Amino acid sequence: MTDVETPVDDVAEAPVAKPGKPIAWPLGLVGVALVIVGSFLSWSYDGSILNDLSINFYPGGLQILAIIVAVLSLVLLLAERGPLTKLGTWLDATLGLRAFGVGLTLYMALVIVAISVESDGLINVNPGAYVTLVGAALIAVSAYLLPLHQLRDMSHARLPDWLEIFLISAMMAVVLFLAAYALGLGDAWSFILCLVFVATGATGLFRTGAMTFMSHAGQRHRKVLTLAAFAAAFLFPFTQNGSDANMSIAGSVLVFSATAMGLNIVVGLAGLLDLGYIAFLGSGAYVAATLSTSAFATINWKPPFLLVMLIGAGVAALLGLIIGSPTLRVSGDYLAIVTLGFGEIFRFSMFNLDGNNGPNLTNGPNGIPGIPDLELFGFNFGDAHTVAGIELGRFSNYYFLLLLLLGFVILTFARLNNSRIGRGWVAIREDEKAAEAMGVNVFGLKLLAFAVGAFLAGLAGTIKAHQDGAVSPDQFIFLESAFLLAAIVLGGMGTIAGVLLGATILKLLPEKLRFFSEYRLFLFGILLVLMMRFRPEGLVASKRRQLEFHEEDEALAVEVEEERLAVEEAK
Amino acid sequence: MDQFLQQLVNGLTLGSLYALIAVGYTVVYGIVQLINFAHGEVFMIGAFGALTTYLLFFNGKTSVWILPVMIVGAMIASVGTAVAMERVAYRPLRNAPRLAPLITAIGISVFLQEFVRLFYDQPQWTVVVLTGLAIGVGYLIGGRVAKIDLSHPVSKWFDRAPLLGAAGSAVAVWVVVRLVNPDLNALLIVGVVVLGALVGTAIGWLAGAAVRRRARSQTPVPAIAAAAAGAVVIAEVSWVLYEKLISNVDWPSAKLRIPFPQIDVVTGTALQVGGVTIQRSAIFTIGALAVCSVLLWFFVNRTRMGRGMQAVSQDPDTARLMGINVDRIIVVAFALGAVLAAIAGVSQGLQNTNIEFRMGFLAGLKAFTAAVLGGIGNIFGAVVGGLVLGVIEAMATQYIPGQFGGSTWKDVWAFVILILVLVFRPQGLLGARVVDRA
Amino acid sequence: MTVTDTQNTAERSIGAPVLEASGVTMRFGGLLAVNDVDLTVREGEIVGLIGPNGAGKTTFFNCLTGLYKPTSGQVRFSGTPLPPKPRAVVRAGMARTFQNIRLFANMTALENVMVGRYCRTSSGALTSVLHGPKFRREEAASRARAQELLDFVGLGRFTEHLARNMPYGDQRRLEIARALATDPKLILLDEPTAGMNPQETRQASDLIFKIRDSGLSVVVIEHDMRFIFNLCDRVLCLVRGEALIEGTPDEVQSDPRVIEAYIGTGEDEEDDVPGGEV
Repeated sequence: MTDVETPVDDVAEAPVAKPGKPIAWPLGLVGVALVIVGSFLSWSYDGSILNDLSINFYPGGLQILAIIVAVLSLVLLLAERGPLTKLGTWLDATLGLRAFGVGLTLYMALVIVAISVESDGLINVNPGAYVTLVGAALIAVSAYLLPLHQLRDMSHARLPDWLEIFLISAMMAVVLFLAAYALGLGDAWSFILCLVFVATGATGLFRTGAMTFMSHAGQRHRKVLTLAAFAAAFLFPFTQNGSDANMSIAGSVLVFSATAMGLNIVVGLAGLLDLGYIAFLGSGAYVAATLSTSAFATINWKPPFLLVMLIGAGVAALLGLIIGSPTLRVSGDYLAIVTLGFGEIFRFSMFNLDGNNGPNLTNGPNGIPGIPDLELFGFNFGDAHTVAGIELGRFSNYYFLLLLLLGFVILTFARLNNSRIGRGWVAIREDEKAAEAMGVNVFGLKLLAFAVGAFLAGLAGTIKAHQDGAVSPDQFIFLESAFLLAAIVLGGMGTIAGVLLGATILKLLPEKLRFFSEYRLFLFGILLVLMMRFRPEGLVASKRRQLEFHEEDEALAVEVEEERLAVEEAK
Repeated sequence: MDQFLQQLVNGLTLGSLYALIAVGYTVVYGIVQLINFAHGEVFMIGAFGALTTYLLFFNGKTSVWILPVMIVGAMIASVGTAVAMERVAYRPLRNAPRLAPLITAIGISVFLQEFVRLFYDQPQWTVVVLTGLAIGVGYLIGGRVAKIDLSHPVSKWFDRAPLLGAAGSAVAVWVVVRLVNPDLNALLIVGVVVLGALVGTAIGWLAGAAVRRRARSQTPVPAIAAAAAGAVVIAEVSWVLYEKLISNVDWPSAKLRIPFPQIDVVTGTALQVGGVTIQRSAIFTIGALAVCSVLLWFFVNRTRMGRGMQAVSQDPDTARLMGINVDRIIVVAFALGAVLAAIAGVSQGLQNTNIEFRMGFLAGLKAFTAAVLGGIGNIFGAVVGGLVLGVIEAMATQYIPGQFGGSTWKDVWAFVILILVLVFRPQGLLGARVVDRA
Repeated sequence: MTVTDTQNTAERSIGAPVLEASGVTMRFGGLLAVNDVDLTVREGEIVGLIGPNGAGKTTFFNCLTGLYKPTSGQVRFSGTPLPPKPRAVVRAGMARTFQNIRLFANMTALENVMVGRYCRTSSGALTSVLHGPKFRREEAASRARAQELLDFVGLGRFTEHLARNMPYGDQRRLEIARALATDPKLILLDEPTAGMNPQETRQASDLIFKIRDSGLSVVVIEHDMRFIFNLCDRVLCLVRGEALIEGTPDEVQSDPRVIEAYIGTGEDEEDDVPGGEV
């Protein structure tokens, strides 16, 4: 189905032409200069914190980030007035500068706070940091004084094909290096600052309309986009310089993403509220565990892994059919509770089947530890391998396999979405009775959604068992289902990029921001409430879902219409 | 035979607990067609409210006269939570697609569990919470004085900015001064309060001036002043409360089960009737259910409010046309459920001799099953369903032979029953009372 | 194209019976919504179904299409009895629109119509994921047919419009296109001109003739008498769940009982029959 995925600007700030103050532009220039100069100066007296920001004329990582924002701001200023004005007729320089300015000011404020906290006192902040702060503030102020223009319609923007393809690839490369850099940051403050940088950059690029252009370009060169994204993901382990630490996190993120994408079929496409989805991941994992060569495995058959994958996925799908058959006739709210119930039954069963309270299938509360590494076609996943001079450890091996799996899951999702089956699912979600009246096999499709979702989760589970090395019942508690659901809702239900984004955020942040671990769930709860209150359509919202949630917004409806027409014309 | 009667008593005790909680689910579903997923947490908060009351005022004593106070404390906690939940989280989502309130409820559930766990671990966080609350209440006071409807869908952030700014900056001033000088004599404290109020008013007024062009209405100065003053006064008062009361208590860690006070008369040696052992707490629970059922019947059938609830659950639009304040009825529905859940919380504590922050989850699910079993939306269905479910659970534990019997599988039966009921008799035993909005 | 009375009296072949409903009765508890109603529709016919509000017309449609299970009575389609199951009904060749438009609001017009093709295609999950030859064939065919149908009803330019954003009249036409996508032999239209101005009503009339000319039979529920009498070959009038009279437009128009049913004699109004909407 045609689906345009872009976050929408705050409609209240849709630019109408407005004249600006003449002082704005020189002020902006001064601001940029100050930021660049200040970033070359030292920010902190103490060199041991925040990756060393203490040496004059030798900028550390965080200072380089500030310089990057300044350079981007300069480009926008030149687009406003100067050699790049042609660019300025397409991009909204003023809004972009506002985002950059405010974001950079916030960034610098946080830098100063971080330096003070990490090295006991404001006294350790060097003038360079203050200079940069002032520069940032000037950029922000100037941006609010700059004129607003009527811009040309971005949907008509076109660059030569080779350039668009190059830009798409470049964007993916940037994402790759940013990810490698961010994950490589050791301390929490640097990571937070990097996040602020990414948020600033992203917001600024969105506000200028550059991302809208990239999204249209991506729609035109769909295959290139997919290929570039996968290439970037594939190259990620090679950026780790032989360290396997981050790959373990990356592997967890991939498992989570694949599972969430499976849930995206059930909830996002078919609209079935499933709160027990983790049971499908669990059944795949337990099948793999019991059929593995672990000393605790309870079944004496040890088939090759590919067969185990199929069996695991099959068992999960069967479970999905068993759960679905009686419950899918039940209405939405009840379905949620019933699936929750089934999830709990699954967990209880795994907990109890230890020989005393049932046949010994799962080794009870202790689970099945000691699961050995995968062996596929003689390739042992536990061994490190050296490729192109870079050592790839155990977790990197699993990473590649999981990337393949994620690719398969996404492919399944996308192809089913744009098929008769996907249309049937959305029809059921929209109006079940009308769908039935049009000949859609409602019950059959619901069952199919459950089965397909379960199958994909089961696949992920089989690999997860080997990657984690152990399975136990408390890996599959209700909270995990809640996290999966939250990932989809947070990211944007029914979209691919959104669910990937949501899954990454929810799995990555707790790992990197360890000092929050005490408050992790507390913040999670608040996040859910706030999300549903203020942006229920998620971060990457397909426009049509935004319409669903913001019915009173007429301007938004008009915007969606025009965008849809533009995309159609562009094809 | 004795064993059967024993299990019957056990089942009724268990069932009374489920029944008390189930009423909350059924009443809310009957009126707003929403499964209040977080109702189990309301039950848990009731128990912890009772415990907190005990620890604050009666630590160490066991006289039976403490019990009513504890129950009141429990009710304050649970009703406060439920009403806040409705106002802040559910009301804005009245017309949203089904998924939104469900996710919100899950979020609230997790939030409440963690809140209790964190509070008991590090009670000094209450200051932060109370500060936040002070800002919130100040903001609401300002809204009242200015007669602006702050939750109107058309209001944007710039309508709320002056009041929020006023309350926020007043409290900020207070925080800064108090952090620097925790011990001040009374006169200086008053001075700080006044200073905070003045600064807050000034900043609020500036904020109002900044957004004047875009805001829907001008926030009048008295409202801004009220917001600032209210916020800072509440902050100061809560700090005093904290100092005097909360920080003096040795709070048990919430990571494990927390022992619940054992009050005379309702706990202690069990009674023996024939061959059956009846715990005193069991008598309390069953008795509480009986009393509550009677009171509930009176409320629903003989009071104006109760009849209003019946009207709203049948047809809210017509009820509104008849002059019934539907919003208030909904709040009453939530509060009613919370009151019963609070009593259930105290019972649970007395019976199990300990409580923990996770106890709401399973109890809530089973209570929901009970509500469905009895007929969703049907208040007395909830009571009957709860008792029946409790008895079934007890009997299943005792009488199911072989490996699948016994207490390890007892929690599963509730879910099995839920699935069976929804598939084969969705209207429950006594018939559902929900208007089909399809 | 203007509508003249001669359209109806042309020598078009009225063929074999397509729909034979006999003795259809629907009882809700104590309320008899539809009472022993017979209706026969032949190939190439346009039949009108009129009656005051609450007469049971939509309930009758619901009984025909399987949305309700009739208390008694039989529905035969092309000779074979139909079970009261919506999918079987659609598969046999009877499609419908709804009184209060039930489109898939958040899908585009094209997607809405393509959903109608669901029962006439059979690509499963496997071939969809693998993009096998069957999938590609059926997908292209469905898309083309949907575009064709949208052109047919006059919405060819609006394929990518979200259904919820379309004007009311266009939504009604979209619903008709969606129903036509199921390749029906008989289409049931429930108040297709509700809320339309005279020009739109005329366009609707033309469209229904077009549908009839393409080989379908049509049954129309309507309140607009002039519309019905210009359009239909036969008219059935229901009052309080019972068939009052069935005949040509002229016969029905001039029957005094019909006039009385609509204008009334000053006595109590009929009670509203529940189940008028699904």
